[in-house]
Amino acid sequence: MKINTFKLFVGDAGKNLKRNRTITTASIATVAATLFIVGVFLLTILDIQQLMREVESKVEIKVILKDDISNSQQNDLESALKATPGVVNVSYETKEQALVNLRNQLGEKNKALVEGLDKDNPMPNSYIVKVQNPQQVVSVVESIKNDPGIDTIKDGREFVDKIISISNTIKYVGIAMFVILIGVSLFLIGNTIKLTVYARRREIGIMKFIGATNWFIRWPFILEGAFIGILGGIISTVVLYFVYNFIYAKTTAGLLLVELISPSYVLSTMGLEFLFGGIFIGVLGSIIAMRKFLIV
Amino acid sequence: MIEFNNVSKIYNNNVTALKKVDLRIERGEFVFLVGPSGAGKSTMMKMLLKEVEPTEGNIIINNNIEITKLKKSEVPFYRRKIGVVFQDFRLIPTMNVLENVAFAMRVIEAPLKDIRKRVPIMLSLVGLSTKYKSFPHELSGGEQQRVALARAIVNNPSIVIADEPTGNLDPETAMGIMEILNDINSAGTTVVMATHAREIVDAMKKRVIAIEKGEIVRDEKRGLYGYED
Repeated sequence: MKINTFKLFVGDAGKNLKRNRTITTASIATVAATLFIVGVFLLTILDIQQLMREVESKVEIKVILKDDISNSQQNDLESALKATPGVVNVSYETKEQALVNLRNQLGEKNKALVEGLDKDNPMPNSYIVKVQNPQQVVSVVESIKNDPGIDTIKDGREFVDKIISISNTIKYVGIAMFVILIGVSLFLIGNTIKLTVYARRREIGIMKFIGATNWFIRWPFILEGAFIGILGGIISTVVLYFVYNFIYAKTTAGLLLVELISPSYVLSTMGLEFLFGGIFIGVLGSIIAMRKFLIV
Repeated sequence: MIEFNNVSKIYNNNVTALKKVDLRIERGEFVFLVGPSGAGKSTMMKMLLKEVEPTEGNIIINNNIEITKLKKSEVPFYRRKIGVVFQDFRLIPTMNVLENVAFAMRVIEAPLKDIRKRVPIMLSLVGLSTKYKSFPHELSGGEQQRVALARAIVNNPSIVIADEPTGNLDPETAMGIMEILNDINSAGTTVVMATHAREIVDAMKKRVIAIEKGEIVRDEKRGLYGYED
């Protein structure tokens, strides 16, 4: 194709978009709206995942030692713990530390509850074991539970099980919803593009009769599709960014502990994905929608 | 030159549109195809555009192009050799007069400089120089058909096919269109026109081929329409 011809195609595409303003606007709006919804969904899922990861990282096993444990027993246990697969960190908490921690947890108001305990500290010595992921808690506990130096093991198994099941549910529901959402989006955008092509089916027929090749007819439509996709992508990204930014500010102000996906992610990664996604859908949609009308 | 050799067409619904038609149209001829509706005129026109394939027989254009054997990718290039005019004009509604005519030249990737030179000449030939910026919906039927004619001949085709080009026009406007077609023919272009317009056929005294039920029933050098209205 000559460069001049391509320039003319770009000009044609521009003219067509302008002359079919209503339908162009409708197409861009559809692409923007569907991508926006996809974006809201993706951010929700990503944030929940982030949250789950944080909760999962808090899972720990507390190995409470007998008071009469010997030094060598304790050393053996510590190295056994460190050697267990899945264990990422083992830290020792002395009676004294445990008491301080408890006092801190109770706070000023309930200070009285722990007063006087310093003399006869009821808190035990313990190892706090962190695992790579919650699924490994059971196996780690199994491998050490018969150690003679251990008084009890607090593994929060119920809590762990709950987290695992919630996290799995979110994963599967998320994937299913995402597939459905993408399907619906493609259908919606595809239909809108089909409409734009359908409105000009006679035009395509005329072009065929005066001897235009299929690619000559396709190019302006493809460029139009790309343009619609780009604009739809940009609009959805910008709107999503501002909406998310607002929510993000509100949430982080209220719950300092939760670390959500940063709004800049919307502008960078997601924006790029939407841009290319938009172009891809616009171009492919145009080509597919035209197929029927090119057979003359 | 157009040659129909033993051409038949049976449509999928078992309607026979053409029965073993043999026909020879010489270069530079002006031919009217007449006959009742559904006789097969349109089928012949569509075959010339390779919109419809013969069930049997072959069609040869300019001595060496066998239409029936053209590959899909060759069809656009074949169609560029033929100018076509329809009853319903078939202009591109989103393009103005100038763009509609220029588009036919752009399709063959003519240099912009040639397009700029030739399109105005064509528009003055059909008497539409002043309306080059108008859109089809702003023009009368006769004006639209003249744009279509300009578009049909802008690439110097050797054959112009016109399927009832005056069907939607009043008699006076129709005669204007016929004058242009006659001029095109005088310049050496073969013209094949399907029509129901008695006055036009009778006035022009050109070759008349009458088709009925898919067969040629009459072929006269300087014929008349020959049907009651």
